[in-house]
Amino acid sequence: MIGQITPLVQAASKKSWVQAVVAHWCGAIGSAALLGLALGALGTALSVTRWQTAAILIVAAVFLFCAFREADITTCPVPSLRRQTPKKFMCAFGPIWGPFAWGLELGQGWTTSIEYVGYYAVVLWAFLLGGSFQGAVVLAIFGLGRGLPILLAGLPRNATAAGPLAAGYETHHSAIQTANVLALAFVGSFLAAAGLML
Amino acid sequence: MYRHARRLLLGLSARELRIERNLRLHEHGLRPPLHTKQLELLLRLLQLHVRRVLLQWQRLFVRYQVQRQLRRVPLCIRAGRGGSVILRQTIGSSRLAAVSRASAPLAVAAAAGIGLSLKMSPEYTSQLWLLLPAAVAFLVGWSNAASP
Repeated sequence: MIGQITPLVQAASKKSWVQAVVAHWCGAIGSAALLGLALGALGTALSVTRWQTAAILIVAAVFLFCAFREADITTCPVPSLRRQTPKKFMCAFGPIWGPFAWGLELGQGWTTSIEYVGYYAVVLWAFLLGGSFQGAVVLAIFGLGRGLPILLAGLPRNATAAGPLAAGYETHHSAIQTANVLALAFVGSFLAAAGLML
Repeated sequence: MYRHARRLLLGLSARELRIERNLRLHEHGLRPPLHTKQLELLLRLLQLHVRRVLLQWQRLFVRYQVQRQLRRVPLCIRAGRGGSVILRQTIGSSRLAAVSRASAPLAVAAAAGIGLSLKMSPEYTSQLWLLLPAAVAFLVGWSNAASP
């Protein structure tokens, strides 16, 4: 996907690339916000907020579990689909609606391979604690982050279709993993302490 | 002709054959004493032969050690198609190594989280309640974008 959108910088024009990036971001943010809204609304409908302390402790435990999983302390398998976004979107929908469709799919998060398991913690937070509005906001921010590599990959002057390599993932894999471990452990312990004080 | 056939028969190079012949003649007293250079060459040949044998043994030993170590290496391959293949490889007692490597940063992060939760006044805590998961969501979203 990055490999098809990024070459627009050179092959087409800067305007086409900007349109594609904006469309992709709109799709990702909208789709993710919709997921957060649905999860928060479901959580509210099921009245899970009644057991707030238990819900907080469960979410905190999942955050800490994800931190352990990211640190390779536990290798417990987590569910994940082994698929990617279809290549044909660009051909089928064109240079604007194609990236938008990719954004729609990526914003959901679960339809493609989940490499960093913190996603489950965020989704569970939206379901158990977020409520519909906050769930939508937090998941929209997830969509914002999800669409960021498209922008990062196309910014350099010599931007090519190198995909994740252009976005710096393969070279900074261990740093990204460490950042995830630290963030998940920090938020998990914060939630646990806050939940116990309630 | 005779020298060539003899060289082929013994599997020696021309120089080695010459040295061997000189040695033989020297034993029969038909030649003046060997030149120092020739002696040095002989010693060098002997040294090279010994080194070759030692290297063969060393290579066998290293191969055996590598094969033994390879049996202990667990490879956890997280592969996303489309070129983003990420190898997570831990060698030896991987779990213990991961625990020892990650325990210090984990403990620091956990302590910071607990400390922040204890220090914060309730009105700020309610803001962090949204801000912290939002920050994690952004990081997780950006990280996971490597896979598609």
